[in-house]
Amino acid sequence: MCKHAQHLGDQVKKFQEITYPHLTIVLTHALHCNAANRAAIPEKKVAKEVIHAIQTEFHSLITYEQKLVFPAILQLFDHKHNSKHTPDLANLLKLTKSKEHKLHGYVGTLHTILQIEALQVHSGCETRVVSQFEQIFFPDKQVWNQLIADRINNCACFRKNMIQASGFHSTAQKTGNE
Amino acid sequence: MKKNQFEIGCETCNIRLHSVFHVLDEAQVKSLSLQKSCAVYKKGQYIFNEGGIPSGLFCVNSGKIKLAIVGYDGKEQILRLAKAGDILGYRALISNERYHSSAIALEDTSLCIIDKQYFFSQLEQEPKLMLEVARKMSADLKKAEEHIVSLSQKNVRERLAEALLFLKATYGLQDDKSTINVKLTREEIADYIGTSTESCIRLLSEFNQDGIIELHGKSIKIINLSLLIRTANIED
Repeated sequence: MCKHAQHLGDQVKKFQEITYPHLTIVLTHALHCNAANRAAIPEKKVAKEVIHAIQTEFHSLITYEQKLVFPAILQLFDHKHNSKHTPDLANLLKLTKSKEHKLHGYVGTLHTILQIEALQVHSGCETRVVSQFEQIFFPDKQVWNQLIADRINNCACFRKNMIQASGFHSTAQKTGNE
Repeated sequence: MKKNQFEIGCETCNIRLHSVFHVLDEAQVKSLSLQKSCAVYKKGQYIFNEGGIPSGLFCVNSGKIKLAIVGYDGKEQILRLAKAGDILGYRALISNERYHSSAIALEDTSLCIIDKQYFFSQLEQEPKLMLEVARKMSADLKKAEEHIVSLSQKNVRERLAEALLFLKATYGLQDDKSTINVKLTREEIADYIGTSTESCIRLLSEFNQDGIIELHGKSIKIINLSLLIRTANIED
């Protein structure tokens, strides 16, 4: 197996087994905690709506990544890849980055709402959504995106697969990173 | 902000007859006329800003105004439009809050501002005016609720468009360069969008009618890619 595919596979595993389950719990917890206090403070309701939006976009991102994006990327970096069709990596990355950008906007909005004086107390669960996304999700995504960019430039298996997809014979077939 | 002043008496204002103030009698109209001041705003000028403190009620004499806020993603979201005969800023005024949106003239606009204290005293003295304002609020609330419904529907449309783009990027297109190279059931597509199969079928049919896609059994042919991208609201 291509060493780059192995490295990317490890990152995918981290997303699927650690990052995403953890953030899913954080979001669920934020939507259910302080239910009694929420009704009394109108801003809490707004914060809850934003968390709902984050949850919807986040689950949508997970669905696309698990079903389409991660398998497609691993396939592109696999030296044994011989499928007739090659995924459009640039477009897939553009689509996922668009969703990450939306999440960034929602988290920023939540952060702003939580600055309101009335929410300074009893907003621990909501604040945790902001901190966990800012400390875990966005940095992990930055690392992932950088990893992909580096591999595109350096991985011979990837180049071979792209050349094959374009219909040319590759001279890089024997120069994989396996 | 420099505004061109203009004055027109409420007694001779035809627009008043289409506003909440049409219920006032002659003496009340005369009194109202003495308590308001009017101005002309050029296209693009702000009438009030989000976060500002209301000092009175605006009554539009001519022109069109948009009420807008900056949304989660930094984009402007238009809440509603106001035209001649409409009143503006009543929500913040009555609830004694700051403006939650900005009002911007879409074209050269003339409007009058009625003093806050005078407006409240008129509401207390004239039940018919109070009822008219309540009717206006109910109508605006209905419009806002309809807006929410259309937004939530739009959101599912966005997600279907996004799903089709993901499928196209992952599986590519067939030799005809427009049919997505994968056949999924409506149920499977609904799973991607996170909606019911029924909604998915209805939306695919809408996309078909709108000329975005063509449906041939399980095959989906993209007819208008740029419209599909616009519908998905993809950001660069």
